[in-house]
Amino acid sequence: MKRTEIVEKLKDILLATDDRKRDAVAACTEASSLTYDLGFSSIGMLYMVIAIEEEFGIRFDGVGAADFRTLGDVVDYLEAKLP
Amino acid sequence: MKWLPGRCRTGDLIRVHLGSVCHYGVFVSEDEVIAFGLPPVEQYRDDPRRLIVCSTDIDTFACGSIVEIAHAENRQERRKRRPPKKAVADARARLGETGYNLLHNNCEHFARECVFGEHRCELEEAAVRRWRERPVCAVYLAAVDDMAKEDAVYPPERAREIRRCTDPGLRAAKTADWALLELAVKQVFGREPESLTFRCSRHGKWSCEELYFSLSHAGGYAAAAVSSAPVGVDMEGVEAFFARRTEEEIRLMAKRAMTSAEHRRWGGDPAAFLTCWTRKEAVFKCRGRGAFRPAAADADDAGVRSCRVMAGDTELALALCGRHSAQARFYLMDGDGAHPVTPRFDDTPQTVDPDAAAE
Repeated sequence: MKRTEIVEKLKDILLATDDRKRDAVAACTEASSLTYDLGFSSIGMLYMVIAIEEEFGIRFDGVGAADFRTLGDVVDYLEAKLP
Repeated sequence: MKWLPGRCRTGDLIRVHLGSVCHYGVFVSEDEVIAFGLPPVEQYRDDPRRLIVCSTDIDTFACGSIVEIAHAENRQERRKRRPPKKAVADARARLGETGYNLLHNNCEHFARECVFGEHRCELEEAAVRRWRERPVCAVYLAAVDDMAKEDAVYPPERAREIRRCTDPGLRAAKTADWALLELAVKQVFGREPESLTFRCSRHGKWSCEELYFSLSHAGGYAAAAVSSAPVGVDMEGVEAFFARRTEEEIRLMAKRAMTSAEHRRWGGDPAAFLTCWTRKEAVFKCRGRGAFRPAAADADDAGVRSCRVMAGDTELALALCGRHSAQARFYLMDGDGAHPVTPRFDDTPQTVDPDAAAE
């Protein structure tokens, strides 16, 4: 899967997490912080992980919450994990 | 379970809020807190104990945040609470354990298992529940010519039904509708068409047991809406719609299709009629039964949204009705796949360049 496709799919997931974040998601880039720019709470973070596991058919093994500070960190992880 | 700050006692399940997440542990003493991994903060990012069961002091665990203690709220929770010595012994016996998983085997699973004997994470459960109940609604658009591949249609009953169409244009459009539906189902719900149960009503309306969908085609384009709630989509090619009808014909159609209140508000603008018509069809497809009676469908239904989309040179008037229509995502297909588009709702149409969207 191409990096741009991963980003678009992640944006869908972010919107599914909280539709009120429509503007923040539209404006977000790979450098956007999950906490400070996108306002993720702990439940939001886990929700995103669940959504990613379901959407991409993967499992988040061997990573902790601190490993994902930005959207780009998640993209890096997925890019390495996906075929 | 109630979480309150207070004086920690041996065998307590404790947690701290660190940025966007919580970190959980088993309190033994001020010098010994056992947790699955170190607190998820930047300073421990490269620490080898980051994702293994380890013991730290309370200051390392808390990272300057307020420590909260879990209190059993009812008899059932109190009964599950294990004796402090047993909780601590179990936690110590697991020091050095690996196999951390952010979602399915994290610090909360570990600490709760030691203290309450259950491998659970409340946040995981809440998040799974929320994900399964999430509003899902997406609309896929594609040129009929790009999608009309007859061998792609499932189930066979629907394929046979389509093959019976004698008009080649209509056959191609129906084939494209269905092929687009199958693609949307795969992309949005991750389901293969063969894993779904499709049914056809005595009125000839197809439905699916596992999800909701609605199809439309016009102006050389097909539209497929899929959702986790009942949904209706209608689409008209703007140029084709007006090319086929004179203003007088539109006035007559408006008189027939609109309620008297809608007709009074209308003002004679043909474009407004087109919007009203697509809204009515979308409302009917979502909520109606039997034959379409335009005057009986409420164009002002709270769940309907109408918009314009430019697909290449073709302007499409589109209406979508459903509980989740406000959250709907729109995608336009081209040779490279589906690209998100942002329609202009009841406003000036937006030109969508699939090549630019792909970049």
